Amino acid sequence: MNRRALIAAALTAAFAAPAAAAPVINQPAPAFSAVDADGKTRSLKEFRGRTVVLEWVNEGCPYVRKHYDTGNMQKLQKLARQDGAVWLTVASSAPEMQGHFTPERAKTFVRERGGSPTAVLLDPEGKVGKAYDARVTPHMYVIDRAGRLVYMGGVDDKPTAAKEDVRFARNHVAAALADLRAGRPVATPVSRPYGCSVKYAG
Amino acid sequence: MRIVHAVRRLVCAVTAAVALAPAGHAVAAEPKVRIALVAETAGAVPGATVHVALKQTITPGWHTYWRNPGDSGEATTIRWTLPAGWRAGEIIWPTPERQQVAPTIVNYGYNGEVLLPTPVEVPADAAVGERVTLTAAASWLVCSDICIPEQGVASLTLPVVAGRPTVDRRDGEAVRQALAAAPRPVGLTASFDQVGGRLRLAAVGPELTGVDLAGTYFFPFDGSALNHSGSQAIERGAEGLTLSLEPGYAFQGSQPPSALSGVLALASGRAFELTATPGPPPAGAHGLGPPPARASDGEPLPAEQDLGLPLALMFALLGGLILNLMPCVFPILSMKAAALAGHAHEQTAARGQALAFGAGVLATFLLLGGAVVALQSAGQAVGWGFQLQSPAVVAGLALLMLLVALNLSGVFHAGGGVQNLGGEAAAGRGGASGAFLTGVLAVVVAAPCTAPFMAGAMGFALTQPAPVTLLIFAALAVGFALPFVLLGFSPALLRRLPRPGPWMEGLRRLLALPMYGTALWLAWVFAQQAGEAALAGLFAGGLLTAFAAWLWGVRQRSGGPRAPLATAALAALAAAVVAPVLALRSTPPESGEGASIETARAVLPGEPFTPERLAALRAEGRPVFVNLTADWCVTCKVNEASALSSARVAQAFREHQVAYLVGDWTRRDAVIARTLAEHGRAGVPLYLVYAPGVDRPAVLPQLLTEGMVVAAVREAAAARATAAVKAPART
Repeated sequence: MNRRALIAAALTAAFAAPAAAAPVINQPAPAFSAVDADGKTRSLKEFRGRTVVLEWVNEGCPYVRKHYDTGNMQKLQKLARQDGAVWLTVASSAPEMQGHFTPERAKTFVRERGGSPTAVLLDPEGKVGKAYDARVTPHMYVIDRAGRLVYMGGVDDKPTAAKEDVRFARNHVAAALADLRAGRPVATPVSRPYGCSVKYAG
Repeated sequence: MRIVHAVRRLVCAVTAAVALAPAGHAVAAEPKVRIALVAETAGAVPGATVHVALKQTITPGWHTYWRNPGDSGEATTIRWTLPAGWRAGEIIWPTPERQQVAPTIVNYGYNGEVLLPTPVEVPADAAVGERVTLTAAASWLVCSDICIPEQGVASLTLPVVAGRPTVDRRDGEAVRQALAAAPRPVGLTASFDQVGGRLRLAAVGPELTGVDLAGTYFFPFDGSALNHSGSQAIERGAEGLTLSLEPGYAFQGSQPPSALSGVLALASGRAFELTATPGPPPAGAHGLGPPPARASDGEPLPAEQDLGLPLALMFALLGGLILNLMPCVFPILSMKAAALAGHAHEQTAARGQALAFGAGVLATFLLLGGAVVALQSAGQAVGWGFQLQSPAVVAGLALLMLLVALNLSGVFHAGGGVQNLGGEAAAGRGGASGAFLTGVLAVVVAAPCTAPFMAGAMGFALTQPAPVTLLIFAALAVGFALPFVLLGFSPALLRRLPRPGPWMEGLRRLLALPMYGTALWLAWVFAQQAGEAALAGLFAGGLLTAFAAWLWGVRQRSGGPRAPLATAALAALAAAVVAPVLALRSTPPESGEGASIETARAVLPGEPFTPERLAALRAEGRPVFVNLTADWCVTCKVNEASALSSARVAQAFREHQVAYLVGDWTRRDAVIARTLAEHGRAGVPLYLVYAPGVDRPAVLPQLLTEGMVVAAVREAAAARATAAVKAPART
């Protein structure tokens, strides 16, 4: 509890964000800024007015691989981008930990996997991850045009590493994007995130 | 002399399967989890339920997951392939451990070895005599800092049997323990509501009344109900508790949860399923403040378990030394020592014998330690003296003691061979091999005795990894062998011993008496375990043994022709060996709770020990004296016959209304083994005195005196007076 409060305080100070750091549905999404694989600093503010999808990644995690090996994540990225949404893939693995991205490794990953994120954010200190309380890979978040958090949780409702489950799963992120597109409130704003733990430093 | 082994029923064939990592995962060169299917019983009964468990042996540093894995991870799943009509239920999940993976990430899972039992319904028309194969295809996620999904197939072949099936010899007890310890609904009344951003979960019920609530934890079934890494603050009430929790994602959704289900786990290891409905906390769930702090966060650690390795080694050494003086060991060793005095002038011979004896002691202790480690890793609850929980071993020991006693009485002489170990010990003839065997014998007969200091060391040993356990057994062996080895190496000491002479003959016959006594006592223990009918068999065996020994002696004295007499002696001996084994069949049913009190032979009015009864008595605010004992435990019997039988103690118990609970460990008993383990002990006796309102009991020494018991009882009663006035303090 104290630790979380401390992190929250530190993050508030670091980003001068008006809201508390722990993410709450239908509240302003926590602000962040981070360097992407091209060395550019990206922040949430930059994308105000657009729908933003956050995806936590660790290329070694079997649950991440489930969605990339089946092309599920790439399909979702394409769908979101076609909608005009911004897709930010966030790598919070600390150096030496599984799934850590150097800029080169991040670019190779996107190229090899045929992904289409707007950017890959490098978050080796876990600042963005902790601002969103991201716990697993893949942990998914959707932020609406007004900057409010409208979805957080798992990719879908089949919390397994089995690739065959993708076909039968209900994709919560696709559903949230469809709700936003139709101007409806998101029907399933939270679900159980599932996957490997985020490999934070320390 | 070889110990008799009972031939048991054929055990079901267990096919252990190797877990296979799925293709395409280059990481998993070798699986991190090995699996096997094990059964509670050695057969399946038509129309009944047999519990079959998936045993996961997990590589150290890795863990698998509970039904709600927490913030990350995935629960183990099983797909069953069963014969037509057989139906598998859901996994009965053991209480998980809370694992802090990162500051904000908490998992619920298992490490080391875990049994995941599943009830399997046997169809009523299953054909008795048929053998059926149950197959489980399991998949699980195993993680350390990285995660690997693994899968494997294990199967088990069980016979269909009629009547009551026997407990599976290899794993049945472990499955039983897993089932007994698994959380189950006990009718707790529970509610939850949200106050100031926190989630209040309140529960009341008899199981939560009068028990130590410190360290209680709520494991939710739904992974989105709680923030798993959040704190769980405890407030006690007269009949239960209220936990202040951090709500999880589910409470942010459009439809907040209408029920909150999960497992409430007490630090004692007891755990209950509950389902809370929305509403304010019931009366009795709060108002008494947080529980008093524990010595250490988590498990209660009494002083014994806090023994460091050096202290444990010292205690083991000391315990081994004192073991020399125990009535079952002393006669053998003193005769051997006296015989050694004859070698005072030949140093090499004395040294050789001393070393051989030491080697025999060490080898036997290490063998015993190895057996304990192996049994423990197989999930058996064993401790010092565990071999005496088997009636066959007790019968064998009784006959062995009789032989030693007969030899000391001069009925027959020691030959050079193995069959006359006891005689060898007394006569001191023969060379190194004789001395080695004396060492073995000495350890074997020492088993019924627990010397002071040993208990602490053994308790420590059995909670440690295998190498440390063996090290402590080795220290015990060194302590045990030390006096004799020193004697062999010190001519000065040897010379001080009286010279061997005709006087030895007289002493030998005198020392035969404690050995007869030991044999009689073991026979009594055997009767408690196996019943009176079996005792008749043992007595018959004893008589035949004596007869065979006498025949042997006659042959030795006459020096006559070998063949007829020797054959007769051997035949009689064989018959003697067979009789008790046959008698074993009439073993009475397990766990005669009614009998436990009677056999405890206490003058004090008592009742059988169960954790439930203990909790209930404490809830009434009564001081409680707990005596964990066994018929084969000499120290226990001495205490019960002296300190616990005195009139002053009885009066103190009456005066202060002290409840007396007796737990009998003569036969295996998982509950008592667990209670012993909770107090860092591996064997009996264990004496606990619970004062009202004080969470931790006072642990009395292994050797009791009347004054000690009276003082402890008075102190406990005095605590009741203060408990009523102020918040209880730790003792």
